[in-house]
Amino acid sequence: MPTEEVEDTPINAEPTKGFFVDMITRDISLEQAVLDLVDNSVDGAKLHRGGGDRPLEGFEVAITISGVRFRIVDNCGGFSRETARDYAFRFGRPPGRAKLEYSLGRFGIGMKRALFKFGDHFTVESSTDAEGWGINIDVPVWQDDPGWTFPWAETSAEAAVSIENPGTDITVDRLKPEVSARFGTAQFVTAIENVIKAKHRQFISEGLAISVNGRHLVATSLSLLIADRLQPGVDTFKFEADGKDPVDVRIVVGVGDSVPIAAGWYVVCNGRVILEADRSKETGWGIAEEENDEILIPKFHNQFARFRGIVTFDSADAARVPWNTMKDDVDRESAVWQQTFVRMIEMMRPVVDFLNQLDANITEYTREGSVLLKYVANAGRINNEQIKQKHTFVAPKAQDIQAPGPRWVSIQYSRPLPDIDFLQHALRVGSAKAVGERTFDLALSKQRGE
Amino acid sequence: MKGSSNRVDFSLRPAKHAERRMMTEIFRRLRPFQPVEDYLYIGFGSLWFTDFALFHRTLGVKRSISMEREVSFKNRFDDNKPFAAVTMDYRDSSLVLPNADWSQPNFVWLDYDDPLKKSMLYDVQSIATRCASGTVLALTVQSFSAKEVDEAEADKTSGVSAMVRFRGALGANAVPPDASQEDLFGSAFGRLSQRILLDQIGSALSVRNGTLGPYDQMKFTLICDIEYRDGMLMKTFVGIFATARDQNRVEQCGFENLDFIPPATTSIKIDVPILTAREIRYLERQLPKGYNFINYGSIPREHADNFAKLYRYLPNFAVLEH
Repeated sequence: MPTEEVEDTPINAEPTKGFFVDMITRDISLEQAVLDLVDNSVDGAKLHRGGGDRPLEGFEVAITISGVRFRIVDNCGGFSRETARDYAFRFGRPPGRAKLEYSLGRFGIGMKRALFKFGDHFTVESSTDAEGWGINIDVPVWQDDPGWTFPWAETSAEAAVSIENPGTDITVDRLKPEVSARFGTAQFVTAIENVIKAKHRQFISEGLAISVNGRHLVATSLSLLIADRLQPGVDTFKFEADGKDPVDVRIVVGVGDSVPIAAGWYVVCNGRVILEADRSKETGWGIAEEENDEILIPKFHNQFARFRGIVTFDSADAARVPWNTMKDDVDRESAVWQQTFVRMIEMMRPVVDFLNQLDANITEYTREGSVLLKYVANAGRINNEQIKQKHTFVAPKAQDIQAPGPRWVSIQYSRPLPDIDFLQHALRVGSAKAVGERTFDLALSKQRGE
Repeated sequence: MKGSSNRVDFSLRPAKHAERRMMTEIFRRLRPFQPVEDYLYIGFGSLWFTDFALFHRTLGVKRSISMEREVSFKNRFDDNKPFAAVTMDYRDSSLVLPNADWSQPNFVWLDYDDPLKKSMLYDVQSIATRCASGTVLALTVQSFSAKEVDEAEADKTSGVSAMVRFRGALGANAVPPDASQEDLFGSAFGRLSQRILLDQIGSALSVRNGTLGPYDQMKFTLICDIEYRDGMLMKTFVGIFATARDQNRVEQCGFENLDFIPPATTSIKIDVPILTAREIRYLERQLPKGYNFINYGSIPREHADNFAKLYRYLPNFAVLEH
């Protein structure tokens, strides 16, 4: 009877390719997907890194984005046929895989996610110094085939990568319409440049050359002010646990230029910037002490526009650093993060106090009369990368540098606009502020009989 | 528009006059999309409504909206409206534009007095996301220098450069990465402002087009850009929104045949020549010129050549006293 045969056949619980592709491409933004591909190139470069100040010198990543095609080519060593066959195109990281030290790609999904997200046709060609290989996949055709494999393809004769020039060349075309629409705009290309410059700042400063549509990305430097009485605070420590790789942590706090958009905490994991200029509760702003409800650290205001905090986590085991799966946020459950966070708050406090004093000094003496502002404005700069030694944060006190002299006081008043305009012309000055200053100075000299 | 109604008599600006006449010629060519008089015109009329009066007189535009923020002088604006075809809207452009009627193609001239700022990006985005095929957008900005240049100068102690402020004010993704400090002045600033605005339109359209089929994909085509001096250096660009389906209508408009657009380019520079009334008559009698050289007489070449480029668009001033 047919019923018996049906009962013998087990229930089909196999995933469909369509579902799988949809799931992995769903929650990631185009910018994140591009960053994941750059991360893979960075991992390749790290394997072959040199020494000294610029260990990634000589490695290049070239990205081309348009409404018809996406391409990323690097010379960062490529990966082997064996890696391609057994690991690189699996969804998820199979057990037994030798871990890549200090890697960024721990979750093994970045490349697949980007390829399927962007379009319906992709080619991957890679070459190590021993061998080369390639694949050429038509996604709709692949989705209809049973089985979860990719066939090998011939590598092209004019391939950008070869045994002499080991690296990886990935191209996606037949872009999905919404992807093509965004890739074709100048603003998206600018956004990609900005996000790579921010997230891969450290690697660029270590010599990695990244270009987008032929334009070379210049590292934006993260610098702090330094002077005799103004020194960044630095602390370094290690998290060790039995059987696990240690995590090296470095925290730097200090004062920078008054640029609100650059102010806040920078969190870096294995060289990759996870949070930049963070001013949220995530990194301590607005934290209230639970017992007394006393505000430990205020919420961010523009008077803290000079705050700079940088915390870097490095570990040979990428699973130990406190980032989330998307590498766009910290993993708040991580014990490493939670303990580091406590130390971050402690180190942040004196900088916030100094910035409050600076603000009070400016309010009391005006921008021109403030000695603290003058001291800060004349301070030198040091790049984040050069800061290594443990140090306590040092900041000047107004009374230590207050030059003898009269106190300055700010005058504020309002007058009708036509009158201000009239005086502005009559006295030949350029602003309402200048009218106030000029009329004061003229009245003063007249009264003094000068 | 800070106080410019109080200062400049808008009627005596020869370069602006030429620009308005050119704008009329552009609008006149929109017949393939719909009768020109059925277009709705949206602009900033100020107290003189010069453009509104011109478009009604020459094109028969029946409906127009003048956006005006200075509500305190409402009566004076109402009393100066030239025709019943003009409706006042006493709100900021950021409120008028998203709520205007975009079901038919309109022509919009955002004639700002100020250098580029973020609110202008929002204004063009409002239009690009909603407008119908056949809408013409003209935009004028001051291109003498970015306001962030003066801000940086006034606040030198902080050491924050004008370019950093500019990127902060407009949004890091709005400003091209290769823009540098020199691009915040003069003609270069005009070009940068235009590029940023066009990129914003591109971005808004890419979002809009994401859900549309191939024939409904909206595109913005630049018709021309104009640089002129009016006290301050100013930059205008004009373009038309049209779907893929309507691209043949754009071709029928034949904008490239406009005689003020030089061949092989869309960039126009209005240089008002300085000539006496007699010199004007002398040159006019030789125009239009084909391949003949003009007899310059004693007239400086540069002024004569500028006159030849624009003579049909310059105003005729008659001074009635001798």
